[in-house]
Amino acid sequence: MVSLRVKKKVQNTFLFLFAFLSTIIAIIPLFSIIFEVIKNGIEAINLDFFIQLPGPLGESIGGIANAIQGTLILVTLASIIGVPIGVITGIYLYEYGKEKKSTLISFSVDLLYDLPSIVVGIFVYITVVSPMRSFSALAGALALAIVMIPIIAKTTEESLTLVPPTISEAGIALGIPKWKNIIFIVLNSAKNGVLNGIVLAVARITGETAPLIMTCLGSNFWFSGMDKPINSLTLLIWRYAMQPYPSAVKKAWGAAFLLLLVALALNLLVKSGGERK
Amino acid sequence: MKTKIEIRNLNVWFNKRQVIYDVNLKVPEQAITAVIGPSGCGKSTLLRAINRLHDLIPEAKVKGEVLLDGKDVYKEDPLVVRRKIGMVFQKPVPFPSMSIFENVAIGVKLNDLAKKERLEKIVERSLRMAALWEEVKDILESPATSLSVGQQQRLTIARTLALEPEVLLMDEPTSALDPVSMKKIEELIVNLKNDYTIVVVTHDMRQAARISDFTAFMYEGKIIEFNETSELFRNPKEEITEKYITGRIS
Amino acid sequence: MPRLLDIGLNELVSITKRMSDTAEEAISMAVNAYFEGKNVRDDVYEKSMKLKELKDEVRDLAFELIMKYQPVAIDLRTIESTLDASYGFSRFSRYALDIADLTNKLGNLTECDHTKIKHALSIVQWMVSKSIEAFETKNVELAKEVIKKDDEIDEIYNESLTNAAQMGKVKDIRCVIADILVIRYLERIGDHACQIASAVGYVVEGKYLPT
Repeated sequence: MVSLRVKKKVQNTFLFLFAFLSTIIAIIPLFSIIFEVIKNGIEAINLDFFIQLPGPLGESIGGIANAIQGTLILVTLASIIGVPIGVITGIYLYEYGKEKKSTLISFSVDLLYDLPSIVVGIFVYITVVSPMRSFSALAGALALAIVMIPIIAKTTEESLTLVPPTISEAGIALGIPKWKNIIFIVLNSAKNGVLNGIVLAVARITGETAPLIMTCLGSNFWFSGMDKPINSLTLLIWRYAMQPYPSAVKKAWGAAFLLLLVALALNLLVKSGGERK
Repeated sequence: MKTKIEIRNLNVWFNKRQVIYDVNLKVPEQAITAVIGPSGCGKSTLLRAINRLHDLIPEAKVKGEVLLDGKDVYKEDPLVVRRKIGMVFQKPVPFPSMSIFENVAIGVKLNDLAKKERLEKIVERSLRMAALWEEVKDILESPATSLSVGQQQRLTIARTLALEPEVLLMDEPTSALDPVSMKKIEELIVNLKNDYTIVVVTHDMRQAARISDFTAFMYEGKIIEFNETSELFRNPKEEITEKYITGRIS
Repeated sequence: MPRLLDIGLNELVSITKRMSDTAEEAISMAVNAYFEGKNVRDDVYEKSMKLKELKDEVRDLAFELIMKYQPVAIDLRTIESTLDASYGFSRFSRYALDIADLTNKLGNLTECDHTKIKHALSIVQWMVSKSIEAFETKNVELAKEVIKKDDEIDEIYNESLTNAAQMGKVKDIRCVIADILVIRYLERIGDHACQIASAVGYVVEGKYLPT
């Protein structure tokens, strides 16, 4: 009997150690990435970094101001397009998603969700960039919006579904029409979840590169119009990281560091948002 | 007594399976009518057929008439019907993202029934009728979820009363509550009967005996007996009724 | 599985049975002693006290069952009528005691003509026994028969009263007095038997049988 107890204890401890070590191994890349980015990126941070244009490639002075501006413009525009469409699609899927007539839409949203973002980029290239004969901020924003929509649609639908049906029923019992019930009662109750989904989608597209490669190209100058190329943090990293010029690489590290901070900030926002009950 | 609601030849099916068989019932005005019966006998289904909640369920089919003051609710605007016939559910469901004040006002607001200025008066009146005003008058802006379960149920009653319905349908309103809250709600319901026609579905026969003026006994989708409560509980006419209320079958 | 209430109801039935047995015994004892001129007052008194005790037991148990189980319908009516019946049984012994007392108060009455009394007695004893049976078996038809018999007793009583009023000189006035009193007591016993029978209707059909 004693040996059985000891045996169990040994097994338990062994399994625990195994699980613990596996977790450590999984986290190591994350921490090493963060470490490297901070180590290399922090050197690049100074005032110039934030307010100056990069200048010609290889220039040791300059900053990534236009990339910051570009990312802000692209994300904002993409959100203006993507969030309303995403939320409304999410509401539609919540209310009608199970019906036969909606299988096409439901399936399409799932497909779009899984679509590699580079394919989205190609699509926008063919449909917008080619006819316009120019890479443009508009195309970039559109591509990002297309990436956003299925994410927001799914999280919105899930958040709505998490609202207990008793709440929806109670709303209907008050004699309000179905659409008012969905928006003012159910969606209202799912507010937190929906907003979290939006914040996560924004965090995601802030870090997207592939769709932008074929749509906005990148630039060394300030934003000059929706129909002209535009720079972004991700494009800059992509362009500069493998250049032979140390100044370029330094700028890339700086941009990476900035992106890391943004991702951290947005995730903290979601965490605190989740606790707002 | 005058009849407020008359149910005629009501039949209800769920996915082709019949659950309510030819129900005929006259609900007296300004009185409390209890509906009792074993689980699954169709009491909740019957209740929900009165305020047309089955409209939302594609698997449900309803045939027959439910007359409110002589007019068939199935031929009227369902939204108007639901404003006149309010419902309180078993699980207290305050809207979680709203304050106490907002919860009570929301039905009125979304139905565009009152201007902003009148809302405060309406909320106070409803909370008073639900015997909750004194407990919450200083914390109206707090989240509704900060109230105890018993208070939450009174809150949902206030929310329903804010619409000034004529009828109150209550689906096991106290089964999720502790005995003290249950007692408070029972007292509240009895007080309300002067102004409303009330139908209470309950699995607690004693509760039906305590608070109702009339009792309907349902079994397997049919109304077996309907009578004044004291008569039904002292001298039931049907054998099944007697078997059920004496606890010989459940 | 029996209901919790059934355990209590069965207990109630057994106490009631003890009461009805004791009451019947008291009546027989008192009446036989009357014919034989024996003094059994103390024995009948003892039975009377026992019945009082049992009546209180019935009452306590009835209210305990009501408090605990809030019975309805037939259960409630059964308990109600058991309370009525227990009162009836206690009255049986009260009148038996009165009969037993007569020998005490009036002396030896063995010489009197007891034919009328014997006739009334047989009817009343039948009524008592059958009312108890109807109550225990919830037999409405039998209860109705008991109630019908009451008319006969009433007739006998009225007759003796009228006869006694018209009597002139009698050999032994004590016999006349005792006669009337016994018949009176028997009539009262019969009344209570009717009440018990009437309650049978209440239990079974929800309405007391008309007496």
